[in-house]
Amino acid sequence: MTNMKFTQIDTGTINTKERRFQISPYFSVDSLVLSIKKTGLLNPPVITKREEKHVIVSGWRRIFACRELSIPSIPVFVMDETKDLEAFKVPVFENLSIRDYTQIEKAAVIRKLDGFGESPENIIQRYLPLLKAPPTREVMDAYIKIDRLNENIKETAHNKKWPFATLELMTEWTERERQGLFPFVKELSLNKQKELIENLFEVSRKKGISVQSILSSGEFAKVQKDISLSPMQKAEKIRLLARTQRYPSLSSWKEAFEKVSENLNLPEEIAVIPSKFFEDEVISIRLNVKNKKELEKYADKLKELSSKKEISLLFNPFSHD
Amino acid sequence: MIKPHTQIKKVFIEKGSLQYPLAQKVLKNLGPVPVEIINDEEEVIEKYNLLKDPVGEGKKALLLKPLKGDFIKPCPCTPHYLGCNYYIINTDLNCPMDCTYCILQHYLDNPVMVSHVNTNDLWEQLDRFLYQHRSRFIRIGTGELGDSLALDDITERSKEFIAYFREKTRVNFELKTKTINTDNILCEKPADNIIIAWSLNTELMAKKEEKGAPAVKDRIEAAYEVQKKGFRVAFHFDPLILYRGWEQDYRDIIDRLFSRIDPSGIAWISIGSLRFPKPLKTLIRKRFPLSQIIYEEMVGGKDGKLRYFKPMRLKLYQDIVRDIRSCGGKGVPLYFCMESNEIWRKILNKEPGSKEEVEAFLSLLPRFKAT
Repeated sequence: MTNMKFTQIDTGTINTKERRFQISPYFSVDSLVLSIKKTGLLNPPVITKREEKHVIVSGWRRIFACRELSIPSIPVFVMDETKDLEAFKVPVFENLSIRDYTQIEKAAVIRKLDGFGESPENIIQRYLPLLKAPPTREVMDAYIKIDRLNENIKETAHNKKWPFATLELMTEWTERERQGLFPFVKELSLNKQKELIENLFEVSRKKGISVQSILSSGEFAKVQKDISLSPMQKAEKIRLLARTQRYPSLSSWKEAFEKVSENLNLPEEIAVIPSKFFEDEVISIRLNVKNKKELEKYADKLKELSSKKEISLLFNPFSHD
Repeated sequence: MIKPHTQIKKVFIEKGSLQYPLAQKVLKNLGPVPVEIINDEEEVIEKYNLLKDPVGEGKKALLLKPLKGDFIKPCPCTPHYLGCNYYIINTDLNCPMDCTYCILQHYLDNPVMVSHVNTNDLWEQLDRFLYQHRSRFIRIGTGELGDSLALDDITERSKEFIAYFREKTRVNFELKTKTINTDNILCEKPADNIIIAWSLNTELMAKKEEKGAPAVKDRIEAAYEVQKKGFRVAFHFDPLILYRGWEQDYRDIIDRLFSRIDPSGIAWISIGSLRFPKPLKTLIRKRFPLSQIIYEEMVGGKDGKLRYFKPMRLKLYQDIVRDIRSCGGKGVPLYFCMESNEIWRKILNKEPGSKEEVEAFLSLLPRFKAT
């Protein structure tokens, strides 16, 4: 157990540029400022000394909030610990006990533990399970790579809570590829981000060309140059284009199905829905009715439709080719 | 051809397992290899999890231990697709070959090859199982969670299985392999209900995606020898893989197959296309960065696994079945592995209502009479 001394220090004496023990730089102090203003600083931060200066071990938000409130001195625990690895365990375990880490924070924890000399065996067998990650070398290495990602990507990934798989895939791209795609990715929701990243990665690997080459060619380039589109609209169009390139047969099948369906001139109360990815031969027909009379009306309509020759095209939209 | 077992550089033995004759036989056949006694399989799993490529490294080690549970299990098949009522015997797990698409990379917790040494329990369980199922025909084999013959030089299991099943006339027993390790088989007297099966692919796919496995022409030659000896043989075109030029390459292999193998002695040919659970895609991408097989157009099937978009599978199956039929396999029983009724109907013009019907179709076939 490390020695801790409870004392009061000037906030100005803390070297906040020294971030060796910081797990996440992506935080906001607004809510904490309000809380400290009302109730004071209830939980003293932990600091230690490096090169004769006070450095933060744990409590970055608290110290920054106090600074924002111009509080001249605050109560702290001063930790008498010269080994970085031992000092770093304090914020790691303190945070573990109160919240879940984002993948970006987990990556920072793993890389710092590694940098402070913790053995890979301990990181894998002791820390990864604590971080709710599979205890394998592969996962440890992946987190170290994730922590090396550019700051802008890490900040978005942290704030939007990107999943491990998406981040891991990002590490397999070149920095140029990542930066080329990032403006679009950040505009999308989580699932769409994952989809775009995966699809573009796979198209690029299949065709053996870089993501930049894909983004700067044909329809992709047109979308980016279109000044009538908002950044979010561009991102959405890029996502759909990437999907079409990744799944050309499925996309053309879907398009053909929609065309057949459109040509049937169905009333809006009747919808024909294919199975997911057309894997099942069954087609669902959805009927929206308010009463018996409507049911009878649309049942007749369905009967009339079933006698149409074109209806069989729904089961194989390309059979007329 | 280097025998697959020669890549075993380390043997782990679970405490107390040396008493089993099979453990002693394996150690004797392996020759000088470092041996480590362990208390529990978990120790090995933890050790290999520390490595950069546990799956790859695991192929260089063998764990000898008794199986505490059941050796015999129904083949899990996959939900929402048609099964064939097959039973699997889990004697050896994992495999020294390193196929890109292998599900075992993802499926098995322990990356090390495992040989279950309590064969006394195996025979007891088999006796009990066959008695319980005495009223029906059984198709059973060992090639589901490992290659049936990859370790046969050191375990010599094939001899014991053939001896055991020879008299069990209501059972079709299948040894399924990609190897040409048939020395033990060729020393045995054939039996009508013992089937030796090979997984086949195109030569290009075997070379690129089946690391450590023999060339397909060599597998066909091994099958030829085994058939000549009088055994029935079977083939599994699974997984069929789409790539530029697949049509001609598969045709070439099918052509070669029927130029060497007497179709009347083929018990069955199964057909299946590349499919795998989504997490395996990441594993493949990392372990085989040059492989292109995961970048074809694969979508989520009814079972959630990734498989080729259905119209692409239909085209693939149509061509393969046409080639098998036209190259000499007109009367050979064909079946699909993990496919839908729709595919059966559209390609084979059959629509089995259940896995029992598939089983009946495959079990009640006329037997091959060896000359």
